[in-house]
Amino acid sequence: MPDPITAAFQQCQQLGWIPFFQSAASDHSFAPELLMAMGYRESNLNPKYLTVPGDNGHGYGLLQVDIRSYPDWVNAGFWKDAQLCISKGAEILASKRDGITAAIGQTGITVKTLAGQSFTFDGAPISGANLLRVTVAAYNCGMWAYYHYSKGHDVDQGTTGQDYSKDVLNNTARFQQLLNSA
Amino acid sequence: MSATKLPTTRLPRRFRLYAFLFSVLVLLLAQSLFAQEPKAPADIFSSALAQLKQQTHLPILLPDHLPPLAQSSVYARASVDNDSYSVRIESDPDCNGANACFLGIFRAKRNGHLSYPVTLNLTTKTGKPVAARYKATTCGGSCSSPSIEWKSNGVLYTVQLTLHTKSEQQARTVMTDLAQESISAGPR
Repeated sequence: MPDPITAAFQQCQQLGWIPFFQSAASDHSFAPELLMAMGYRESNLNPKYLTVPGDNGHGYGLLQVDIRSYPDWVNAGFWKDAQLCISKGAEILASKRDGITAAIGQTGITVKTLAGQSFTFDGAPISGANLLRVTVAAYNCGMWAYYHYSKGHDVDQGTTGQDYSKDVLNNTARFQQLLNSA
Repeated sequence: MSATKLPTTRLPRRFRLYAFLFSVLVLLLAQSLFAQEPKAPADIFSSALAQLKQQTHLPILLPDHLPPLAQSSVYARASVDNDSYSVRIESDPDCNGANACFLGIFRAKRNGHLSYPVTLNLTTKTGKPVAARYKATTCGGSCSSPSIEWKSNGVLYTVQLTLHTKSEQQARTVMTDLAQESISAGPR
């Protein structure tokens, strides 16, 4: 019996999802294996999540797009389509990368919680692997990932399980191996 | 005639009522006394706790009970390394760490640092202040559940839970109470 990641990858192949990851990754300058690892972290890439929400009824689709942040997209039912889920996930991830890049060196950057509280921080210089790590963490917790990075904390401090980007980037290497050997 | 008989028939009923009230009072008193004794942690932790006790030297802080979570079926699994432990709670036994079925995590890390934005006032059982912080739900494409952290004897404890609450304010109250309960209960 294959390990869970291999099993998820093989299921993506069987369901014809690999080209969706490749296309979305190409559109937004990411690696397809990164998007696959994010999908695995969010939903195990389990097609069940194309029919039922996860995360206490808040997360929709393979990338668990949250209805509190993207109500129009969710309510339109796009989350039931694997290709649309993957392209939306890539689009959101790119928007996080762009938001962080635009905030580099800025002072008084505001971050908010769902409780409505606002906090400010000054954006630290960031590039390369650190920018990718913070971008991935930001997919799960927004600009709080850059807040923690700029304050010198672990960038996953504000993420689910406090290991989101670490887990995704570790699994990215696994999905890359699987893609290369496919 | 019947008027003279009334007191003799009422007296036993009153007596029974007093006896009933007295027994209720005794039961409540006993319950109250029992509540002041250290409790076992919530049942969900039983197998994880056994593993943690064997594998970590860190003081294990856990609450007496779990607050209502987003799902009723919960599965716990523990992991340990040299300087930390964690108990992850999921709604699916085959969750494999996916966010979709994440319900919570209890972590302890030696020499960890407080990092959340909101400062809280928690205390030990003896009233000594405990440094603690909180973060509400934060969102990107997906979202990260509320978390609370506190530092005790050089160990950073963090609890993150996907709660079944009506508001973020209520979630903060629940998380604060849970942290206080874990601190007050002491190491397991």
